[in-house]
Amino acid sequence: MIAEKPSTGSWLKAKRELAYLLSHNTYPTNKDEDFRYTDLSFLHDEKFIKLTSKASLQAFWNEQEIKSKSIDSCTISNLLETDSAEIIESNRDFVVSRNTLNFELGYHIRLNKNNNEDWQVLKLKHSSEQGETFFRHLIEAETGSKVIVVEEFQAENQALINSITEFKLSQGAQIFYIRRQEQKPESIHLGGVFATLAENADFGSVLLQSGGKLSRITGEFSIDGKQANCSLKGLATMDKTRHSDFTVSVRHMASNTTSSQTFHNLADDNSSVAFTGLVHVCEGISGIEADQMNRSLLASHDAIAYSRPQLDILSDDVKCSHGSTTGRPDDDAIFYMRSRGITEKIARELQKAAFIKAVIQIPHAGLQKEITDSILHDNFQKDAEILLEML
Amino acid sequence: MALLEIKNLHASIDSKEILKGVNLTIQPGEVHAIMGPNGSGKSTLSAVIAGREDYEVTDGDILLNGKSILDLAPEMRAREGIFIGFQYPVAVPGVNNMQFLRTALNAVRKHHGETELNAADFLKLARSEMAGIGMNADLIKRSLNDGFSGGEKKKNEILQMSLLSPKVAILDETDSGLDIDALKSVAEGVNRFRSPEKGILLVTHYQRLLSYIVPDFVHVFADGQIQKSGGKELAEHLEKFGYDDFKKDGAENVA
Repeated sequence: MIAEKPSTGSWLKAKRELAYLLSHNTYPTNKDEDFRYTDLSFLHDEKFIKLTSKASLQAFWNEQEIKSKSIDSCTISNLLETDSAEIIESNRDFVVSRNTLNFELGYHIRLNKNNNEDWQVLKLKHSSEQGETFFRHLIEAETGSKVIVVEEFQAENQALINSITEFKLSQGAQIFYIRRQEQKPESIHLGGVFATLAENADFGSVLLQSGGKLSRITGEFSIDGKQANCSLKGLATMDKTRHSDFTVSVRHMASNTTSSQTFHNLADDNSSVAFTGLVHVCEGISGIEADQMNRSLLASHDAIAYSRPQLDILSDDVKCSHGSTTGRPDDDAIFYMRSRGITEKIARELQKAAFIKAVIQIPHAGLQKEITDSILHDNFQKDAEILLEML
Repeated sequence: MALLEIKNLHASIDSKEILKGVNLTIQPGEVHAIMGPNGSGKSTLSAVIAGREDYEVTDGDILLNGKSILDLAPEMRAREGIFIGFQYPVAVPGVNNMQFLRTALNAVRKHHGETELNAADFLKLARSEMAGIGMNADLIKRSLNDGFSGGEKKKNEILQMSLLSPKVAILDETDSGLDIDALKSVAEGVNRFRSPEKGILLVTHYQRLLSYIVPDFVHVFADGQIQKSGGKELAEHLEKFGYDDFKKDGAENVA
């Protein structure tokens, strides 16, 4: 089975052997792993999983499609064809193992020192028409690199995308990562993002989940070097019977490091949203600052929010905070806005829109506008323009 | 024709009657003050006029320029010319104060067949009104009431009133939580709004506010009703002797 895969490097063969042992080809229930709120075992019965995958992957550098192995300060190659690569161990969870075992589409990308001070934009567009599709990327950001990495995921209803992206940030590298999942409502999205940060590295991200009937994103971030910072934001907007799960951990392994986690989950109809967050501060380090906040807005009486914020602190010189709020739209605020002549519909939408927009903070004006406008249009259709004016 | 007419108004919440037959008429140009002890139903009266749906009107009517507004949604009452200055203005994080106010003003203007204001014209107007009440110009750029001090929130209410230019403004304990300077600024804003066409209803505990906004009529509100009406001297009497005479079962005993 392993031999059938078109792997070329011995490094990958070894990884796949381990992954095969770990994955058992069986999707886990919520009792098999630490993803307590997301049961994947129903995927065994999804017939479309057996369909042959039809997928595509494209890469763009500053809006220009990448057709050669090198463009500007970016070099890119097929991850399967690379001579050696250090990818994460498969024992993280089932989804990682299954991805390591099966991926066929993916890039090994090296981001070198920028030619100027501006953010460069690397965009990866993933799409799948049917079947179970695996994407895998390894992105190594060198000193002096300053790049916004945007991953977009589109999938038809009979598709499951499992996509893992790993970052390795060298000293002083700056990466801002945007993961945007807007798949068709019956599709599935699994995967995660993993990053290691060397000294003075800065990793920011916004993870956006708006499509699919089920999406589960894992984030693991290891702050290994002094003065490094990791700022994570996430947004899930769910309705009908859809489900979203963010499971995020940040590990402070060096002194004078900072991190933040801000995740907003909006659930309407009978949908459910879950957040599990961990801040881990290892022994013997100092000067740590970490914040963690999860807010859930339940727009209907039947929607469900799960929240599990956690701190695991083994040092003394640490300033950490964490919190979680779950609530319904604020009727007092809605009445207040109505008393000024704003319709009830717009007042309700305005609360949701403000909740959504609060976590879309991208250090690039063009992308900020493009993504905010797009998400508000997806959620509020023709009212989006009115709402955008008031935010 | 009366600007605002409240006729035998009864209202309940969770089957408990709070308003027990309120009668009040405000003519154009008049300033009325309603004073009363805690729990007498003053704020309920404001909320019912504004159209708060938690309350059920069980009898009576509210007329604006002779037309009942009881069947109108809160936003339609606002567009028709009712303004409530809230005792506790709500913060709405993420909603830009200026753009919210412009949208609200344009909703009112559109309702009256007037042209909508563009951002530049609105900002010019808003800055002028803000200067009039000594409001920090930066507050217009922030989220609606978010992180505002008590005084800033009340000034923002007065700014909204000035911009929306309603027919009747009902100011619910606008003086609460204000220091003396802020109180003067708010009072100046209300006095600037005062005109022969507008009506004002001040709801307050204390005579203090009425030293700066001199009312034409003062009403004592207790046990869900207006118990006594008079001129500004009634407020001075209340300041001296309190509300004991008007509390439940107390005989009205004002000279």
